[in-house]
This record gives sequence, C-alpha cells and structure tokens, in this order.
Amino acid sequence: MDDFKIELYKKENPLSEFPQVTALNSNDMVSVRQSLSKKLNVHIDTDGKNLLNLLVKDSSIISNYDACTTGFLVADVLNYLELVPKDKIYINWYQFDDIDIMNFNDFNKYFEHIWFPSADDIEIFDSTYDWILFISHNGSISCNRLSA
Amino acid sequence: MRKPVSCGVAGLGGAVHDRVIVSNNPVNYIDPDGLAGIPISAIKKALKEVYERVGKLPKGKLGKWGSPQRGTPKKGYRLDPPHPNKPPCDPEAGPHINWWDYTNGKNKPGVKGAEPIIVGGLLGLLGSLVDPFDAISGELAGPEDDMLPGTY
Repeated sequence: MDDFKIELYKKENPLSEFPQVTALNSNDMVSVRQSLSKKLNVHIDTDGKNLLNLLVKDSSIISNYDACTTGFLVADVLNYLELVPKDKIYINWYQFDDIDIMNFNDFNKYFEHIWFPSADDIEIFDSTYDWILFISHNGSISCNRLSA
Repeated sequence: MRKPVSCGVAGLGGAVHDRVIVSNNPVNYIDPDGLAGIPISAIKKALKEVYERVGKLPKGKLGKWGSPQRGTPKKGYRLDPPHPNKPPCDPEAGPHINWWDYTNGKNKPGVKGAEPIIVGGLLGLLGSLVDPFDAISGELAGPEDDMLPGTY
C-alpha cells in the first residue's frame, strides 16, 4: 500500500494507529501466483497480467453494492455472497506483483483509508483461493468464485 | 442489505467485469473494445478539463488494466474505457479520464472524478497503436523517471 495513505491517516487521526499491513516479498508473491494458477488450472508460471485477465473474465458484477457509498463494508458483500474470509486476506494492488496481507477485520474497518476511488482497482482474496473480490476504481464490485 | 445502486439487476446478474488488460506493449495498449478509434480532439477536450483539476503530470506506470496513466496513486489521471454497468448519464458510461488528487486528504471535495470523453468530432481519428496522452501535442513528453522510481 502506498505510504501516503498511511501518512494521510496519521495526519487526520493523530491519536490512532494505522493497522498493520505487510507487503509480501517476491517469493511469497510467486507462491500466490502459483496457487492461483493451480486453482485456474493453467500453467504454474502464468504471469500476473494473464492471471488477472483469467480471473476477471469469469467474474460477476454484484450490482447491489457500491464501494463509493457511505458506510460501505466489504464484510457486507462477503456476507451477502455467503463467503467467510480467513483472518488474513491478500490485497492485490497491481498484477500480482504488489500484494499486501492484512487482517480482514482491519481491512474491513479501515477500508476507506485503504481503497481510494478513481485511482485504485484492487482485488482481495484469502489463502483458500476459493474466491476473489474485485473492487473497481468506480466502486463496482465483482466476484469470481474459484471453488465452483 | 444495502439498497441497490442505480444500475443493473440486483445480485449476481451474470454480467461480466468490464476490464481486460490489453498489453504491456507501450505501443499497443489501448483497449480495442473501449478506447481505440476515439477522436483525439475529444480526448484533448476532456484532458483540458482534467488539467484544470490536477495539472499536467508526467508519465507514470501503466494503469493496472493497461490504460495510459499519468502521475502517481496520490495524484494522477488515467484514460479508461466505458464501463457498461454504469447508467448512461454516468461519466464512466463512455470513454473517460479518471482523475484524482489526494495530496491534501481523501475526503475533501473535488479530489477525484471522471471526465467524460464526448465523442462527436471526426478530426484526428486515433488508431489503437499509440498512447493518446503522448500523442497530444507532446506536452507530456519529457523526463519522467524521477516521478515514479522503480516503475519500469
């Protein structure tokens, strides 16, 4: 995640700590890409750009949620989809070459300080790789259930 | 459950995501489904409005989905294809330029938006082989490496 977001948060909330966000190292990101490749049944060395295309191709828009609305909670979307995330989730910022990991409850609570509309297209998923949620820069939400 | 937003059928309607990465080849990265063939005059007009908001910015990393982009995640703009799930009145229903400036905070008015590209002119039809931001007057050309260290 870009440092400026944490700086903005600290500026606006000087008495509060931003939750822990850990950037995956390159080996861990290779592992994530390989896990997704296995899930998609494609070559294990499929690059992040192609993985992203494959994942988005079979995603469905969840039209009754909009990340731009006040009070939006990712937890509500997952609940609606009957998906229960693991404690830790991955946040993909680019083409699976810039991935953070953080506690889902923190992500849910601090979402407005993490995802910035117009600029950010992100995906979240957990270590089951059973689902991936796309949060578009315009607030649109899509999901691909990889377990299906 | 949250009230349905303004477009589409609630729930998993089967609509597919509207973004697909086109290419990392910098001479061929305009989405043929959404951006190729847009008159450069229309892009120029929209870009002029964007400049009013964020100024001219140096070339940045390509957008995640392959769109031309300028600036950084903190302050920038990006050419985007139409989003079919948006209602016709939405600026993102057609080709548009997303812009943002979070320099002074996220929740202040006027820090983000989408400038629609109104397609109507016939001059300067742009093929799918160039970055239109580069093509426009060359005003964005110049040293850019200092802006985004580590990208490309």
